[in-house]
Amino acid sequence: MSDCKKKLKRPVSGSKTADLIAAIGSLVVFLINEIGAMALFMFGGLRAMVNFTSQISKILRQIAAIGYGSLFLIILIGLFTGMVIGLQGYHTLSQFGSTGFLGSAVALSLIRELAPVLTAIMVTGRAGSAMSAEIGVMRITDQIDALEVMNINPMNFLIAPRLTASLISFPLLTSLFAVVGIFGGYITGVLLLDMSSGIYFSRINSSVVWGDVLGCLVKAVVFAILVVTVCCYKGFFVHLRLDGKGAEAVGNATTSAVVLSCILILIFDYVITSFHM
Amino acid sequence: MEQPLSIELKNCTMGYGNFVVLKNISLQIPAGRIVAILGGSGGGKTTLLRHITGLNRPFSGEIFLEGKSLWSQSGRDFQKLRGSMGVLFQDGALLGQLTVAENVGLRLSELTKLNKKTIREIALYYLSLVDLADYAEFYPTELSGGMRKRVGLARALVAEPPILLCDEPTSGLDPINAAKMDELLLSMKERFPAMTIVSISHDLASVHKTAAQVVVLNEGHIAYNGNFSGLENTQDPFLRQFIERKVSSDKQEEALEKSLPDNIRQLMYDSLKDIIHRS
Ligand SMILES: Nc1ncnc2c1ncn2[C@@H]1O[C@H](COP(=O)(O)OP(=O)(O)OP(=O)(O)O)[C@@H](O)[C@H]1O
Ligand SMILES: [Mg+2]
Repeated sequence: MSDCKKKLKRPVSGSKTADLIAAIGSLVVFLINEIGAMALFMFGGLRAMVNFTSQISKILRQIAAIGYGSLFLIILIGLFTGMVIGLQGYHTLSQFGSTGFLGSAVALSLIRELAPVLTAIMVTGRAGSAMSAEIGVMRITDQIDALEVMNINPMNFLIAPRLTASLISFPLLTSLFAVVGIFGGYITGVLLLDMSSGIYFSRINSSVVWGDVLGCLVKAVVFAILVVTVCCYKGFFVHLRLDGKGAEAVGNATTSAVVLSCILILIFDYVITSFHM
Repeated sequence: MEQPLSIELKNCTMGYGNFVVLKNISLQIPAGRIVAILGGSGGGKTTLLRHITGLNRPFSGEIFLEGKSLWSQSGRDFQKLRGSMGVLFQDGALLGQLTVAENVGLRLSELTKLNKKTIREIALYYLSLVDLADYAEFYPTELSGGMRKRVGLARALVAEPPILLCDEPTSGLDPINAAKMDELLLSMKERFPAMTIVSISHDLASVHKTAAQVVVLNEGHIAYNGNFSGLENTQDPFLRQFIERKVSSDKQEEALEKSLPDNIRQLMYDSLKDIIHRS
């Protein structure tokens, strides 16, 4: 990592074009370095998860922070997402006289896309930013160095419990989001508008297949790894940032962790969906 | 009899990024000694310590711990060498989310299968060495700076590591507690004769009392390496200033005599006249 710091220092040259090319080149090198380092970081974290039996109390603490702490938020967002799809879907479908399909529309869009993506983005904002800031502060106050000289692997101590906790929490939160969202669609479609509840649920039953649910859970798992890797990585290497030092760097790291996580969630969502179709 | 070397630096150049702090340092520290590292603020003492612990890698040169070259060890051996060190960081570096007792017992709770009760008992023992057993349930942010430092020392002392590295154990402490720290280091040395203690210090009285070897860093080099009486009798102008607490140079006097231009000072005073009360 310290290498890319050096490489980013541009060589001085007279010509503007050469400078531009050098700048682009060093940016590309920096990005490739960053992706490689992040991938290594991820594998380190996943490997450290093997020792989960010795980390149970830390994992539970993280589940409380990531999972339990996000419950209310997920229920709230899930409910309103479901309700608004119900409303939009109802009006669109009524133009074709097929409001009977509302159940399928709500359930499929939630299970396939909205539940995993919105859950991941919400949890990134809530728990991912906290991870990044917490680990970043530990870095700039020598706490991670202290762990290292005590031979306590920071991967075991800090990253693996967060990974395990997220791998447990994300699928559960995503499922909860979908269920609450379907209920939200029920509220608009059946209770506020004039659909029959039998049709709403039987359409869900007949249109959602096991593959949809599986795809939803796969996304949740992938996003869990993604979010924890990006957020922890940004905090862990906060001291190598070039755009600030100290507290400012922690702030920048947190911002970039959230932004990058959200972007990657959407990109990976597309990739997974395209494999699935 | 020659003591085996505990720490040896061979022509080490150290620094951060491309900023060199210490140039071509060679240093030998025999086992079972208390060694004091002195030097001006920003002189590279912490840097030296960080390189000895393997947190940073020297640009060139080699570091030997217990006769083994630190950076040519494989992963597990590197860890083992590092495990032979207890380190007190300059600011304590306690983990904020853990209590004082959990911090002290951290190494045991993470790396061993000892049960909680035993670990707690051990942690309380080491806390009592630094007079802080009553604060076991406090969090680091609830302690004073000096107390944090003492907790850091307790954490470094766990299991009496063969090499103890302390970054300014007595700075920030009152004279009584500072004297207690000296006594603690001396008693450690007495009870564990093989223990090598490297202690960074600004406190000449404490160095005189404890250290068998004194290393003074100045401008990236070792300006003195020997015993304390040798340092007292030295004729070297820098070292004389250092031990006599004299202002170091004409440069400093110049800096003190320099005055802010009157109009700028007046401007500053005027702009703050609602904020700073001046009668
Ligand atoms: N992480 C770092 N990155 C870059 N330069 C650093 C870093 N830490 C310290 N330095 C620089 O290294 C030099 C030596 O710093 P060091 O912390 O080793 O001093 P010190 O002798 O411990 O001082 P003090 O007695 O005040 O603690 C200083 O010039 C400082 O600016
Ligand atoms: Mg220092």
